[in-house]
Amino acid sequence: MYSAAVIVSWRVSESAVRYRGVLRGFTESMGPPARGTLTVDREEVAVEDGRRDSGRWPHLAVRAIQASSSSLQLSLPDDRLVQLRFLDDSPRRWEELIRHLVAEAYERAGRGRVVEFQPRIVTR
Amino acid sequence: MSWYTVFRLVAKWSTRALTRMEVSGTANIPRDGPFFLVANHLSTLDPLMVQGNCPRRVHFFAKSTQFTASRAFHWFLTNVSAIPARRYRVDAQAVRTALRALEHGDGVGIYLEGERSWDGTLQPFRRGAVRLLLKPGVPVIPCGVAGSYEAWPRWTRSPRRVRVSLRYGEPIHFGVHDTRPDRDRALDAAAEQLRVVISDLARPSGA
Repeated sequence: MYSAAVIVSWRVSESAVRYRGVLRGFTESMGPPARGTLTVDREEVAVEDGRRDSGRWPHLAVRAIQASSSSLQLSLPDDRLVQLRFLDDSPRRWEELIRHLVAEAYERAGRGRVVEFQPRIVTR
Repeated sequence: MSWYTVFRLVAKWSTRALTRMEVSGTANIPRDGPFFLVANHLSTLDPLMVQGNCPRRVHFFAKSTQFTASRAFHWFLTNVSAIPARRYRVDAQAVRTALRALEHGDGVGIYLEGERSWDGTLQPFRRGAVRLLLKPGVPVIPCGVAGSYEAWPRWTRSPRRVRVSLRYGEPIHFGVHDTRPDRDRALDAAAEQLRVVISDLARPSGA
Protein backbone atom coordinates (compact mmCIF):
# COMPACT_ATOMS: atom_id res chain seq x y z
CA MET A 1 0.00 0.00 0.00
CA TYR A 2 1.20 3.52 -0.83
CA SER A 3 -0.05 6.77 0.62
CA ALA A 4 0.74 10.45 0.39
CA ALA A 5 -0.34 13.68 2.03
CA VAL A 6 -2.26 15.81 -0.44
CA ILE A 7 -4.32 18.95 -0.73
CA VAL A 8 -7.69 17.79 -2.06
CA SER A 9 -10.08 19.83 -4.22
CA TRP A 10 -13.29 18.46 -5.73
CA ARG A 11 -14.92 19.88 -8.81
CA VAL A 12 -18.05 21.78 -7.83
CA SER A 13 -19.21 23.11 -11.19
CA GLU A 14 -18.31 23.84 -14.77
CA SER A 15 -18.53 27.28 -16.30
CA ALA A 16 -18.83 28.38 -19.89
CA VAL A 17 -15.99 30.25 -21.57
CA ARG A 18 -17.25 32.74 -24.13
CA TYR A 19 -15.56 35.18 -26.46
CA ARG A 20 -17.71 38.04 -27.73
CA GLY A 21 -20.79 36.06 -26.74
CA VAL A 22 -19.77 32.90 -28.59
CA LEU A 23 -19.29 29.72 -26.58
CA ARG A 24 -15.69 28.49 -26.77
CA GLY A 25 -15.85 25.70 -24.22
CA PHE A 26 -16.07 24.89 -20.57
CA THR A 27 -13.77 24.96 -17.62
CA GLU A 28 -14.07 23.31 -14.24
CA SER A 29 -14.39 25.22 -10.98
CA MET A 30 -12.74 23.47 -8.07
CA GLY A 31 -14.11 23.69 -4.54
CA PRO A 32 -12.16 24.74 -1.47
CA PRO A 33 -8.94 22.81 -0.84
CA ALA A 34 -8.52 20.62 2.25
CA ARG A 35 -5.70 18.52 3.61
CA GLY A 36 -6.18 14.82 3.04
CA THR A 37 -4.59 11.50 2.16
CA LEU A 38 -4.34 9.57 -1.08
CA THR A 39 -3.94 5.83 -0.63
CA VAL A 40 -3.55 3.20 -3.32
CA ASP A 41 -3.09 -0.53 -3.21
CA ARG A 42 -3.45 -3.35 -5.70
CA GLU A 43 -7.27 -3.20 -5.62
CA GLU A 44 -8.39 0.37 -5.12
CA VAL A 45 -7.66 4.05 -4.77
CA ALA A 46 -8.87 6.03 -1.76
CA VAL A 47 -9.12 9.77 -1.20
CA GLU A 48 -9.82 10.85 2.38
CA ASP A 49 -10.22 14.47 3.37
CA GLY A 50 -13.01 14.22 5.94
CA ARG A 51 -15.63 15.54 3.53
CA ARG A 52 -18.69 14.05 1.87
CA ASP A 53 -16.99 13.24 -1.43
CA SER A 54 -14.22 11.17 0.21
CA GLY A 55 -14.27 7.49 -0.65
CA ARG A 56 -12.64 4.39 -2.07
CA TRP A 57 -12.95 3.21 -5.64
CA PRO A 58 -11.78 -0.02 -7.27
CA HIS A 59 -9.26 0.61 -10.03
CA LEU A 60 -11.76 -0.51 -12.65
CA ALA A 61 -14.04 2.37 -11.59
CA VAL A 62 -11.45 5.08 -12.28
CA ARG A 63 -12.43 6.89 -15.50
CA ALA A 64 -9.29 8.91 -16.28
CA ILE A 65 -5.93 9.82 -14.76
CA GLN A 66 -3.84 12.82 -15.68
CA ALA A 67 -1.16 15.02 -14.18
CA SER A 68 -2.00 18.69 -14.58
CA SER A 69 0.96 20.99 -13.87
CA SER A 70 1.84 20.24 -10.24
CA SER A 71 -1.25 18.21 -9.40
CA LEU A 72 -2.94 14.96 -10.29
CA GLN A 73 -6.55 14.71 -11.47
CA LEU A 74 -8.66 11.58 -11.15
CA SER A 75 -12.02 11.23 -12.89
CA LEU A 76 -14.27 9.03 -10.77
CA PRO A 77 -17.76 7.54 -11.07
CA ASP A 78 -20.84 9.81 -10.76
CA ASP A 79 -19.05 12.52 -12.76
CA ARG A 80 -16.70 13.31 -9.88
CA LEU A 81 -13.35 14.96 -10.49
CA VAL A 82 -10.75 15.30 -7.76
CA GLN A 83 -7.56 17.31 -7.95
CA LEU A 84 -4.69 16.29 -5.68
CA ARG A 85 -1.75 18.55 -4.97
CA PHE A 86 1.11 16.65 -3.37
CA LEU A 87 2.78 18.22 -0.36
CA ASP A 88 6.08 16.41 -0.66
CA ASP A 89 5.95 14.14 -3.68
CA SER A 90 5.82 14.25 -7.44
CA PRO A 91 2.43 14.13 -9.22
CA ARG A 92 4.16 12.45 -12.15
CA ARG A 93 5.35 9.58 -9.95
CA TRP A 94 1.83 9.07 -8.60
CA GLU A 95 0.34 9.31 -12.06
CA GLU A 96 2.64 6.52 -13.22
CA LEU A 97 1.92 4.40 -10.13
CA ILE A 98 -1.87 4.67 -10.43
CA ARG A 99 -1.75 4.12 -14.20
CA HIS A 100 0.32 0.99 -13.62
CA LEU A 101 -2.12 -0.37 -11.01
CA VAL A 102 -5.16 0.45 -13.14
CA ALA A 103 -3.60 -1.23 -16.18
CA GLU A 104 -2.86 -4.32 -14.07
CA ALA A 105 -6.44 -4.39 -12.80
CA TYR A 106 -7.80 -4.25 -16.38
CA GLU A 107 -5.53 -7.12 -17.44
CA ARG A 108 -6.44 -9.21 -14.37
CA ALA A 109 -10.12 -8.68 -15.16
CA GLY A 110 -9.58 -9.73 -18.80
CA ARG A 111 -10.62 -6.26 -20.01
CA GLY A 112 -7.64 -5.81 -22.33
CA ARG A 113 -4.52 -3.68 -22.44
CA VAL A 114 -4.96 -0.02 -21.52
CA VAL A 115 -3.65 2.17 -24.37
CA GLU A 116 -4.80 5.57 -23.11
CA PHE A 117 -5.62 7.00 -19.68
CA GLN A 118 -7.16 10.32 -20.68
CA PRO A 119 -9.62 11.78 -21.53
CA ARG A 120 -10.96 8.32 -20.73
CA ILE A 121 -9.45 4.91 -20.22
CA VAL A 122 -9.26 3.09 -23.55
CA THR A 123 -8.33 -0.57 -23.92
CA ARG A 124 -7.47 -2.81 -26.82
CA MET B 1 -4.71 46.11 -34.50
CA SER B 2 -6.32 43.13 -32.73
CA TRP B 3 -5.22 41.75 -29.36
CA TYR B 4 -4.15 38.63 -31.23
CA THR B 5 -1.74 40.61 -33.41
CA VAL B 6 -0.35 42.37 -30.34
CA PHE B 7 0.12 39.02 -28.61
CA ARG B 8 1.78 37.52 -31.66
CA LEU B 9 4.30 40.35 -31.98
CA VAL B 10 5.08 40.44 -28.25
CA ALA B 11 5.40 36.64 -28.14
CA LYS B 12 7.62 36.57 -31.21
CA TRP B 13 10.07 39.22 -30.07
CA SER B 14 10.10 38.31 -26.38
CA THR B 15 10.99 34.68 -27.10
CA ARG B 16 13.69 35.82 -29.52
CA ALA B 17 15.09 37.97 -26.72
CA LEU B 18 14.84 35.18 -24.13
CA THR B 19 16.43 32.49 -26.29
CA ARG B 20 18.82 32.22 -29.23
CA MET B 21 16.07 31.20 -31.61
CA GLU B 22 16.23 30.01 -35.21
CA VAL B 23 12.98 29.82 -37.15
CA SER B 24 12.48 28.10 -40.49
CA GLY B 25 9.67 26.90 -42.72
CA THR B 26 7.15 29.70 -42.16
CA ALA B 27 6.56 29.60 -45.93
CA ASN B 28 4.91 26.20 -45.38
CA ILE B 29 2.01 27.84 -43.53
CA PRO B 30 -0.88 28.37 -45.95
CA ARG B 31 -1.51 32.02 -46.86
CA ASP B 32 -5.25 31.46 -46.59
CA GLY B 33 -7.77 28.77 -45.80
CA PRO B 34 -8.06 26.43 -42.84
CA PHE B 35 -5.22 24.31 -41.52
CA PHE B 36 -4.07 22.39 -38.48
CA LEU B 37 -0.79 23.26 -36.80
CA VAL B 38 0.60 20.41 -34.68
CA ALA B 39 3.73 20.57 -32.56
CA ASN B 40 5.68 18.80 -29.87
CA HIS B 41 5.48 20.40 -26.42
CA LEU B 42 8.55 20.77 -24.24
CA SER B 43 8.15 24.02 -22.38
CA THR B 44 5.95 26.94 -21.37
CA LEU B 45 7.75 28.88 -24.09
CA ASP B 46 6.37 26.69 -26.90
CA PRO B 47 2.96 28.38 -27.32
CA LEU B 48 4.67 31.78 -27.44
CA MET B 49 7.15 30.59 -30.05
CA VAL B 50 4.86 28.44 -32.19
CA GLN B 51 1.99 30.96 -32.29
CA GLY B 52 4.19 34.03 -32.21
CA ASN B 53 6.06 33.01 -35.36
CA CYS B 54 3.02 31.75 -37.26
CA PRO B 55 1.77 34.51 -39.58
CA ARG B 56 -1.84 33.25 -39.40
CA ARG B 57 -4.33 33.23 -36.53
CA VAL B 58 -4.25 29.88 -34.75
CA HIS B 59 -6.82 28.71 -32.21
CA PHE B 60 -4.77 26.51 -29.90
CA PHE B 61 -6.22 23.96 -27.52
CA ALA B 62 -5.30 24.81 -23.92
CA LYS B 63 -6.11 22.82 -20.83
CA SER B 64 -9.24 24.14 -19.17
CA THR B 65 -7.60 24.61 -15.76
CA GLN B 66 -5.50 27.43 -17.20
CA PHE B 67 -8.64 29.49 -17.70
CA THR B 68 -9.28 29.43 -13.96
CA ALA B 69 -5.75 30.46 -12.92
CA SER B 70 -6.78 34.13 -12.70
CA ARG B 71 -9.22 36.56 -14.30
CA ALA B 72 -6.37 38.21 -16.16
CA PHE B 73 -5.17 34.92 -17.62
CA HIS B 74 -8.75 33.98 -18.56
CA TRP B 75 -9.03 37.29 -20.45
CA PHE B 76 -5.65 36.72 -22.09
CA LEU B 77 -6.42 33.17 -23.22
CA THR B 78 -9.83 34.04 -24.68
CA ASN B 79 -8.31 37.00 -26.54
CA VAL B 80 -5.57 34.87 -28.10
CA SER B 81 -8.18 32.43 -29.41
CA ALA B 82 -7.34 29.58 -27.03
CA ILE B 83 -9.87 26.75 -26.90
CA PRO B 84 -10.47 25.35 -23.40
CA ALA B 85 -10.20 21.56 -23.43
CA ARG B 86 -11.26 19.52 -20.43
CA ARG B 87 -8.73 16.73 -20.21
CA TYR B 88 -10.72 14.55 -17.84
CA ARG B 89 -13.46 13.80 -20.37
CA VAL B 90 -14.10 13.69 -24.09
CA ASP B 91 -14.73 17.37 -24.70
CA ALA B 92 -17.21 17.63 -27.56
CA GLN B 93 -17.54 21.41 -27.21
CA ALA B 94 -13.80 21.92 -27.67
CA VAL B 95 -13.97 19.86 -30.88
CA ARG B 96 -17.00 21.88 -32.10
CA THR B 97 -15.14 25.13 -31.45
CA ALA B 98 -12.11 23.87 -33.37
CA LEU B 99 -14.20 22.76 -36.36
CA ARG B 100 -15.99 26.13 -36.34
CA ALA B 101 -12.61 27.91 -36.44
CA LEU B 102 -11.63 25.81 -39.47
CA GLU B 103 -14.94 26.61 -41.18
CA HIS B 104 -14.12 30.26 -40.57
CA GLY B 105 -10.84 29.74 -42.45
CA ASP B 106 -8.53 29.95 -39.43
CA GLY B 107 -5.86 27.58 -38.14
CA VAL B 108 -6.29 25.22 -35.22
CA GLY B 109 -3.30 24.28 -33.10
CA ILE B 110 -2.85 21.06 -31.17
CA TYR B 111 -0.04 19.72 -29.02
CA LEU B 112 -0.55 16.09 -29.91
CA GLU B 113 1.09 14.81 -26.72
CA GLY B 114 -1.60 16.59 -24.70
CA GLU B 115 0.86 18.02 -22.17
CA ARG B 116 4.38 19.32 -21.75
CA SER B 117 7.07 16.68 -21.83
CA TRP B 118 8.43 15.66 -18.45
CA ASP B 119 11.85 14.61 -19.70
CA GLY B 120 12.38 16.36 -23.03
CA THR B 121 11.36 13.36 -25.14
CA LEU B 122 8.41 13.07 -27.51
CA GLN B 123 5.51 11.42 -25.64
CA PRO B 124 2.76 9.26 -27.13
CA PHE B 125 0.19 11.22 -29.14
CA ARG B 126 -3.40 11.42 -27.92
CA ARG B 127 -5.54 9.24 -30.14
CA GLY B 128 -8.45 11.67 -29.99
CA ALA B 129 -6.24 14.51 -31.20
CA VAL B 130 -4.99 12.53 -34.20
CA ARG B 131 -8.56 11.42 -34.93
CA LEU B 132 -9.62 15.08 -35.08
CA LEU B 133 -6.91 15.81 -37.68
CA LEU B 134 -8.39 13.16 -39.95
CA LYS B 135 -11.96 14.50 -39.92
CA PRO B 136 -12.08 17.73 -41.97
CA GLY B 137 -9.46 17.04 -44.65
CA VAL B 138 -7.55 20.29 -44.17
CA PRO B 139 -3.74 20.46 -44.47
CA VAL B 140 -1.78 19.59 -41.35
CA ILE B 141 1.36 21.66 -40.76
CA PRO B 142 3.80 19.77 -38.53
CA CYS B 143 6.04 21.86 -36.32
CA GLY B 144 9.09 20.75 -34.36
CA VAL B 145 10.58 22.61 -31.42
CA ALA B 146 14.06 21.74 -30.14
CA GLY B 147 15.90 23.28 -27.23
CA SER B 148 12.97 24.80 -25.35
CA TYR B 149 13.18 22.02 -22.75
CA GLU B 150 16.75 23.10 -22.03
CA ALA B 151 15.60 26.73 -22.04
CA TRP B 152 12.72 26.30 -19.60
CA PRO B 153 11.76 22.84 -18.32
CA ARG B 154 8.83 22.30 -15.95
CA TRP B 155 10.78 22.62 -12.75
CA THR B 156 12.62 25.90 -13.19
CA ARG B 157 11.18 29.32 -12.46
CA SER B 158 12.91 31.28 -15.19
CA PRO B 159 14.26 30.55 -18.68
CA ARG B 160 17.90 30.14 -19.68
CA ARG B 161 19.20 31.74 -22.86
CA VAL B 162 20.06 28.73 -24.98
CA ARG B 163 19.76 27.83 -28.66
CA VAL B 164 16.19 26.94 -29.67
CA SER B 165 15.03 25.90 -33.10
CA LEU B 166 11.51 26.10 -34.45
CA ARG B 167 10.75 24.41 -37.75
CA TYR B 168 7.44 24.40 -39.63
CA GLY B 169 7.29 21.42 -41.97
CA GLU B 170 5.59 20.86 -45.29
CA PRO B 171 1.81 20.34 -45.23
CA ILE B 172 0.55 16.78 -44.81
CA HIS B 173 -2.73 15.89 -46.52
CA PHE B 174 -4.53 13.00 -44.87
CA GLY B 175 -7.75 13.50 -46.86
CA VAL B 176 -11.29 13.53 -45.52
CA HIS B 177 -12.33 10.70 -43.23
CA ASP B 178 -16.05 11.24 -42.77
CA THR B 179 -16.93 8.36 -40.52
CA ARG B 180 -15.54 7.20 -37.20
CA PRO B 181 -14.57 3.74 -38.59
CA ASP B 182 -12.72 5.52 -41.44
CA ARG B 183 -10.80 7.64 -38.97
CA ASP B 184 -10.04 4.66 -36.74
CA ARG B 185 -8.63 2.72 -39.69
CA ALA B 186 -6.34 5.60 -40.67
CA LEU B 187 -5.38 6.59 -37.13
CA ASP B 188 -2.32 4.47 -36.41
CA ALA B 189 -0.64 5.20 -39.76
CA ALA B 190 -1.35 8.94 -39.43
CA ALA B 191 0.03 9.02 -35.88
CA GLU B 192 3.17 7.20 -36.97
CA GLN B 193 3.67 9.51 -39.95
CA LEU B 194 3.31 12.57 -37.72
CA ARG B 195 5.66 11.09 -35.12
CA VAL B 196 8.37 10.56 -37.73
CA VAL B 197 7.96 14.04 -39.24
CA ILE B 198 7.77 15.90 -35.92
CA SER B 199 10.74 13.96 -34.50
CA ASP B 200 12.76 15.00 -37.53
CA LEU B 201 11.67 18.64 -37.31
CA ALA B 202 12.42 18.66 -33.57
CA ARG B 203 16.00 17.44 -33.92
CA PRO B 204 18.48 19.84 -32.30
CA SER B 205 20.27 22.33 -34.56
CA GLY B 206 23.33 20.78 -36.17
CA ALA B 207 22.18 17.21 -35.40
